[in-house]
Amino acid sequence: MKKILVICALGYATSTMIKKTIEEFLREKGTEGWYVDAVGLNMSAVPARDASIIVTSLELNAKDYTAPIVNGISLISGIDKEATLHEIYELTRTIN
Amino acid sequence: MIIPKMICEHIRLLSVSGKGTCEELLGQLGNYAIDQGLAKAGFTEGLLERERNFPTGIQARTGIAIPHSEQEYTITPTLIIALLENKTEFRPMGGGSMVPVEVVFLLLLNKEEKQVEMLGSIVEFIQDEEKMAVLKTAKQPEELLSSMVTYLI
Repeated sequence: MKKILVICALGYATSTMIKKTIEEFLREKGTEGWYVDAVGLNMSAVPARDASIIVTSLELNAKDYTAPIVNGISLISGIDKEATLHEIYELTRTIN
Repeated sequence: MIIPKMICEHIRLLSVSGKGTCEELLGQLGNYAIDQGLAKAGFTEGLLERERNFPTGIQARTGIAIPHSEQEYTITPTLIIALLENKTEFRPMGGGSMVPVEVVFLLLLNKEEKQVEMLGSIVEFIQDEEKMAVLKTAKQPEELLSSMVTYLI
């Protein structure tokens, strides 16, 4: 199973919301072999190591991560939400 | 200046002039919560620090912000909604350009597990243009808001 890691400030509300939205979307798309995890920034170093995609509500430094980073704010604001979900979907299709 | 538009248990709908900085506004709202006995001393500082470290401005169709502090400061779980007569700039959650904020959802929560539900209902709310329009006019928003109370307590 490959992992999408959602990172927010504390790992409670925002990341959990984003996680639920992505899970629902991947289910609708019938995407298999992926799971979504949510975590707070200060606990993110270890779980980020084996993540294949990172989705975040924060401004992260790409240099600190090996996985591609997707800005997940649209999943909160609703603006350009579809584009973000599509971006995640495309990543799940291209990452082996 | 803060003008209460609707006050009920767990919800305060306020009209605020909003002239000034984000910090000034949070200071005003934080002190209001303390004066009203909803939050303990230290809440305002907690609010400001949290916003400094993790900004909460969100550019939805309407610019909003969801500032909050540690739960230890909460006396009565309350959703304080401030309608700003003048847009106030908040730093954006997740980076990008500053967000001109019209509506502030200030969260006073005391249960961690309630945060997700509350945020969920706010997100649903801000994505609904009709509901936001009713809220902004502050005319009879009671029904809309009371549906949010269940997420607080």
